[in-house]
Amino acid sequence: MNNKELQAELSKKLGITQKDTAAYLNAFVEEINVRLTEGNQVAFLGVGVLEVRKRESRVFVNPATQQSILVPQRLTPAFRVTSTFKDKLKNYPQS
Amino acid sequence: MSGEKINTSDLANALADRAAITKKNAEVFVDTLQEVFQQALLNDKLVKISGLGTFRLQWVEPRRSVNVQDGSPIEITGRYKVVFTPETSLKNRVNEPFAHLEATAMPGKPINRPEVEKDVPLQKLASQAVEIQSILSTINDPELSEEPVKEPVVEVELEPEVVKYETLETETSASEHRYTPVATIEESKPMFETISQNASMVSEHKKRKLTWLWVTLLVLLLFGGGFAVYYFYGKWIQESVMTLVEEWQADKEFEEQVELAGPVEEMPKPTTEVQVKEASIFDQPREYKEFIADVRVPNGGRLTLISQKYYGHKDFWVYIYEANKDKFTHPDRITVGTVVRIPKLNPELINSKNPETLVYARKLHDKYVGTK
Repeated sequence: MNNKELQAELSKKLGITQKDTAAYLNAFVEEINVRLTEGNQVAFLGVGVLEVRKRESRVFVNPATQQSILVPQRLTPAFRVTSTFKDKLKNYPQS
Repeated sequence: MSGEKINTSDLANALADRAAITKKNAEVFVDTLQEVFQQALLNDKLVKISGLGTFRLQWVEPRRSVNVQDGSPIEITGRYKVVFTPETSLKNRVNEPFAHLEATAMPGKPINRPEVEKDVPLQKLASQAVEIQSILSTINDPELSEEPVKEPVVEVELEPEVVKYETLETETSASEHRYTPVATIEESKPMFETISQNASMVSEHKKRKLTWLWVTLLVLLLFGGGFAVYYFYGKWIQESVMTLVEEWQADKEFEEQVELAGPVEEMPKPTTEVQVKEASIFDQPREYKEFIADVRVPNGGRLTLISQKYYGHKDFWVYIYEANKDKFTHPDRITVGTVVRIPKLNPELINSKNPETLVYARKLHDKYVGTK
């Protein structure tokens, strides 16, 4: 399901216009973005937790040229699934 | 970075402020979103939310494992896991604090270069040892010593000792020289140290120290073997020693003179003979008096295999053959059940690391196998 389909489904369920739905959804996503950028752990829709992890700087060697490259540290968004949703998935058959 | 935990109701409140709707509506919206999202995730296995990223369900195959407590095999059932791939925009926003950092090529040599360099000294050392071994044997060989092997490192400073060697040769007693080599080599160490200090290379210094140790050991070994031979071939050796001495005087620039002349200097004849003996190790007639084992040739047994077992190299079978000549009509013809005596050999003769021993053994091989 892509973003558009999600909006359509939401507006149908909520009985509001797609335009409004899109506005709310964008606000919601923006809020998560901001909180995440601040370094917080953000609970996400009962499925898991979005968080920021730090990747330390490291030295990468190009195997072809043997050239060493220093890859700097960086922050990256990550997602951790909650155990409740994991349990839910456990019983979900392959399809 | 605060690192707070933001739960869903916090988000709903923030959404209400941001979208200018009531908190209740915001909560309803988030609840519905949650419901739709979870349902979509389970049904479609994939949900894209622009500005955030893609959530995907990925099937993990069942696999076998063991119970950590009692080691009994268990099967982990197949299941779905949630994979989140953030959008580039989110990645960039999150990485804002470190955005100014860029991957940079490190100057100079590749990073794994030091490891390579670590190995090199070892190789150098090993090859040096081999080199010195072969140099020693060529120098010890009176016939070959005419072509001097020149090494730049050690200078001619030990000349006087060479001269001494001649005068002292006949005087000292046999019992003394066990210790003299060590003493002389220690004497020469400081000299060596000054040389290496000039070169200002500490690591090389260490290496050389090791090589000195090697040389000392070798010389000691030679003495031991030489004694035995002296008793058998005393006269012959005396003659050859004299010629050898003359040759040594002629080319004094030898590096190895330091080592050889040093030990020899305070030695009586027996020890010098040791050296000569060692030198002409291949020319000496071999006598097989001591045996380390008797071997009954098994079915399919070969002298080369026996040699491999006792001497560490198959090429040395010729010595077994020499010691058991009476039992063979031809080295290739060997009867199963023949008891072959394995002679005790000079370890230098069967030093498979010295290429010359192999060359000589192959020469013998050609001699015996070639002529019936």
